[in-house]
Amino acid sequence: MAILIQRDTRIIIQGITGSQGALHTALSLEYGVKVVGGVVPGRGGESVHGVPVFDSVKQAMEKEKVDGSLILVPPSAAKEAAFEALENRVPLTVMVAENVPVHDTLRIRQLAKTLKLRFIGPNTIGIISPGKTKMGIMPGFLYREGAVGIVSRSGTLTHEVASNLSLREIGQSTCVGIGGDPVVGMNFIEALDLFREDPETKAVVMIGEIGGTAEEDAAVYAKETGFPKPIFAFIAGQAAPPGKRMGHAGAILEKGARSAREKMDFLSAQGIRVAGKVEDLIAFCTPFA
Amino acid sequence: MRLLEFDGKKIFRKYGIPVPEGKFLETAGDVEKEAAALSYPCIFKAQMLSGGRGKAGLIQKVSSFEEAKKAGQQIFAQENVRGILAEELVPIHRELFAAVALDRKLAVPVFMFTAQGGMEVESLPAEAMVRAPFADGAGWNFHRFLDLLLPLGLRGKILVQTAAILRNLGRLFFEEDALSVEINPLTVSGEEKVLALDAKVTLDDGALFRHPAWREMKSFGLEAGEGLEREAKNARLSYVSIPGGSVGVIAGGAGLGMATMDAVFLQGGKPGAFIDIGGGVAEESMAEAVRIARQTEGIKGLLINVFGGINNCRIMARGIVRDLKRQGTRRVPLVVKTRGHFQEEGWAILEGNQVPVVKFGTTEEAVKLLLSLLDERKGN
Repeated sequence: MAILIQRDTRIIIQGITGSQGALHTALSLEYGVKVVGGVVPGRGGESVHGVPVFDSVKQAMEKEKVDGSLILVPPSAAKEAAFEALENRVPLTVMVAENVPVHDTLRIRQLAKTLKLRFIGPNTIGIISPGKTKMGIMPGFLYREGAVGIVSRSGTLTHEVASNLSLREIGQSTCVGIGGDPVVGMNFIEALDLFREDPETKAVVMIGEIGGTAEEDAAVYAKETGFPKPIFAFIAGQAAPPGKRMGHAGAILEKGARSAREKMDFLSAQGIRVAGKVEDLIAFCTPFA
Repeated sequence: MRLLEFDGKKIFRKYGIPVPEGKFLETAGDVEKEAAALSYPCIFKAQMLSGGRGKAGLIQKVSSFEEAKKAGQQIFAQENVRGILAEELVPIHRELFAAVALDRKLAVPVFMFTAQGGMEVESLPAEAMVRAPFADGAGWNFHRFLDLLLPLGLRGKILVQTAAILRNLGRLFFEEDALSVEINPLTVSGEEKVLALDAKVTLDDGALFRHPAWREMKSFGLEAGEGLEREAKNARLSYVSIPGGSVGVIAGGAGLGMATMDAVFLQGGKPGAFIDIGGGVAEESMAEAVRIARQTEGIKGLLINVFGGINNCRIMARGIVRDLKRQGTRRVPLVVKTRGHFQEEGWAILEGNQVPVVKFGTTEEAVKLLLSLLDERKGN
C-alpha cells in the first residue's frame, strides 16, 4: 500500500514552466510519476517534456483526473497557487517553496482544514512512496521500496536517513516531509495516523529538531492512542547554540523551550526509541529490512 | 526582522495607536543640534535591538540641555546604539500589556492582554493573562475587544481607548505581516489617556516582496550584522558563528546542518561555523559559503554535507572548486559528503580537484575523515 500516494496517483505540477518546475517534471517522469498536466496562467497549450500545460487548475481538471498538485512556484506566488488547488478541491496539495510568508501559510492551512483537503508544506521536499511514485523534489534513487515509514520536519535529513537505510537494503513505505517552517499543513500526528492504518508500514522513523513542541505532541498522541508499531526518533540540534536561528527553518532554541537533549528524554519517556546519532537509526530499522 | 522601537512606533502611528511625542536623534551631533529645542524634562531612549535597556542605563530621564548632552554622549558610547528617541515624559498612572503572537503549538495567532503590565509581565500567573485564539482576528469588530476587556474591570474612557488600540494592533498584525507585536507597557496617563510607551514589532522577512516600504526603515538589515554575517546575508546564506569552535559545517537544510554539527560534537570536534545554503543554491553562493566558513575566526577545517534535491550536486561542486581556486596552494582541509541529483558529475569535479569525497558513507564517517585530516595536519 504506502500512504498518501500510490503507483497510479495522477498529479499536476503548478509552475511547470519555471526552471525548478521543468527540471523536476523531467526527474518525476524519469521516476515513473504520472504527471498528467502542468498549470501556468497564460501558457496553456504549450507542453513541457511532453506534459500538456493548462492555464488554470480548473481547466486541467476538466481534461484529466487529478489526485494531487505539486506546487513549484516562488514564495510570492505560493498563496495564489495553493488557493487555486484547494478551491478546485484537489485532494492533496504539496508546496515545496521556502520563505513563504507565515500569514499566507496560516490562510492556506485554514482553507485546507475548512474544505477537509490535505495540504503538505511549505518548505518541504514533498512525499515519496519509493518504487511507486513521488510528489516532490527528492532524488528518487536514494530511496528504496520497503516497510519503514518516515515522517520528517527536515528535508535533507530525510534524504540522509533514507539513503543510509536504502544503501543497506532497508526500504521505505512512504517518506513524508512535513516541512521545516514554524507553521505547516499536515503535522506529525496526522502522518502517524496514516501510517497506523497502512499494512505495508511496519515501523516509523520520526525526524525532528529543536524548536516548537511538534515532536512531543506526536509522542504523547502515539502513547495515548496506543500506536501499534515501533517509532524511532532522531532530534537534530544537540550542539546548536541557544537563541540562534539555525538555518532558514523554524529551528531555534527558544527561551523556555526544550533543548534537543530534553526533547529526546521526553520522547523516550513516551516509549519512543530515540537515536543518539543519526546513524543509530540504521540499527534500529535493520529488523524491518 | 525585529524593529527598533522608533520604527515600531512609526507603524503604531500609522494604525492609530497613540504613542508619546518624540524626536529621533541619529547621532551625538544631532543631540547637540536639537537639544535646545527639546522640552524638558524628557526621556532619552537608546534605539537598539537588544533588550534590557533600562538596567543598562540606556533609558534616562533628562531635565536640562546640559543633561541631554551628557546622556547623549553616554548612550552613543555604547555598542550597537542606532540612535536616541527623545520622548515627552508621560506620567504613568497604570500599566497594561497587549500582544499578538504566533502560537506554534496551535498554529494560530493568539491575542494576549493583561491589566497588570510592566517589567514583570513574564512572571505573572497564567490566569492573569487573557489569551484568545486570533486566527480570524482580521475580521474582529470593536465589540469583541470590549468583551475581552470588560471582565478585567476596565471602564469608561480607558475601556474605549484600550479596545480601539487592541483592534488597531490586531489589524497591524495581519496587514503588516507581523510575526509578533507587543506593547509593554500600554500606559494609562494621568489624564486617562492610553498610550503605547514601548513597541516591540517583528516582521516576517518572507513577506518583504509585498512591503517595499520596509526597506526605508532604519531597522532594515540591522540583524544582518557586520562583516561575514552581512556577506552571508548578501549571498542569501544562513550563517551562525560559534566562538571557540574549529570545524565549519556547510549543509543544505537546517536539520542536516544541525545533525552534522551534532556529529562533529559527538566525535570530539568543536563546531565553529554553521551555514545553511538553503534551496536552489547558485555556484557563486556556494563559493561564498566556503569562503565565509573558512574565514570565520578559529576555523581549521570544513565539512560540507549537501544533497542534490532542490539543489544540484554539479553546481555545488563547481562552487566549492571556485573557492578552492581562490585559496591557491594553501587550502583549508575539507571533506565533502554529497549525493543526489547529478551526483556523478559533482563527484567527478571534486575528485578532479583532489577533494576527499564521501559518496555512500554516513555523516559520522565524513566527520571522522575530516577530524583525522586535521590531526594529521597538527602532527606535521
